[in-house]
Amino acid sequence: MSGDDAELIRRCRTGDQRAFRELVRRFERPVFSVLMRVVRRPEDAEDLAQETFVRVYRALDRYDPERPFTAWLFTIASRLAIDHLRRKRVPTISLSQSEPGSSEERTIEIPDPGLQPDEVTSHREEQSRANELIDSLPEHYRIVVVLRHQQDLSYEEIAEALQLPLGTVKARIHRARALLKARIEERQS
Amino acid sequence: MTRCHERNKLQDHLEGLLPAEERLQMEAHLIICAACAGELALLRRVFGALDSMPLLSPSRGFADRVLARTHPEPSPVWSRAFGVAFGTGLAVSISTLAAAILLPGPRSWVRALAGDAVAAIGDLFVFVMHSLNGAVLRTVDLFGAAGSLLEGLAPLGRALLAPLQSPVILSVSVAAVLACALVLWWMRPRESRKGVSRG
Repeated sequence: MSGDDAELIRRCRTGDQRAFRELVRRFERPVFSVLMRVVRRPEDAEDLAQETFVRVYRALDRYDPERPFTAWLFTIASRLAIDHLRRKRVPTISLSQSEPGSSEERTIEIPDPGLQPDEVTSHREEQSRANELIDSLPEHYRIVVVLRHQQDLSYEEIAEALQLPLGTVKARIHRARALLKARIEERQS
Repeated sequence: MTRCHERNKLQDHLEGLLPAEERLQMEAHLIICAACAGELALLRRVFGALDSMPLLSPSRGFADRVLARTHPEPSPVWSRAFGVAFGTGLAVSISTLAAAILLPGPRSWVRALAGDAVAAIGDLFVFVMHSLNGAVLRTVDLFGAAGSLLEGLAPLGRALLAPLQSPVILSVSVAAVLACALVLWWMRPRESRKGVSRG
């Protein structure tokens, strides 16, 4: 945790409203992004993000400053997201899908800029397809890769946030990457 | 094709999690093992896609909505004063009514008191309604022809108010108004609700 964050949190704990507003502004995008990746619906992600910050505010007295703030913050956000998914099973897209009324499998394509750069029309399109592929991961893989790659949490912090054994977190992240790699490989072949 | 046993370490290698000695061994291995080198290239692309996940923003005013929940605005002083006065009045009225019903002994004084109170409230109500009626007519009269039209409607207003001369109707009306006020007071916003606006 940066010294700046630590000072901000110290001020929040004294009841400084402006400091808390600054804290929300500083972390609203990371929290919202993680929740969006997990629950996908912007309305649900925003409700959960609001609830995350409300719970952070109410629990600030119990926060241990020795612990990384982001890990604690994402612990709260992740648990809310997981509870939300349990209550409301969000459908996930399979990596191979069949068109309705067809027995033929449709594969989700991602661009291959390394091999065929002239076929890639824009970085945006590539990013969009990559996002689609990431979104197609099962939710228990999605949340760990988002925390690892987007929020840069360590394996230990993710394990703590999700209350999972360290080995499980590592295995899930490795499998998620392997799954994504397999898709790229498939595209190449 | 046999699978190279070093393959399982490629992700750790990319993340820089291998100890220095193993990292050097892996680098040497990648020079001679085309399969692992190809695998590493694919993994780099996976890492690239994952690392470039964009940060998304919630809708505008997100922080305000959070703050509205964590630091709700206190209700205005007049609102709290009105609430306290209303609650006190209601409590006294109910207590008086309960006492009048439950206490033994002659109750003629209660009936007299209640009758006087109802009459006084009725007079006050009729007076206020007549005054409002007159004020509206006078105001509208200032604007010319519309005034005379409404003046023609004055008998209708008086006819509508006539039933209020009856204490029973008046009492029921006052009770209904109080009940409505009570319900509205109970439904008052206590805390700013979260709102999601897309923007």
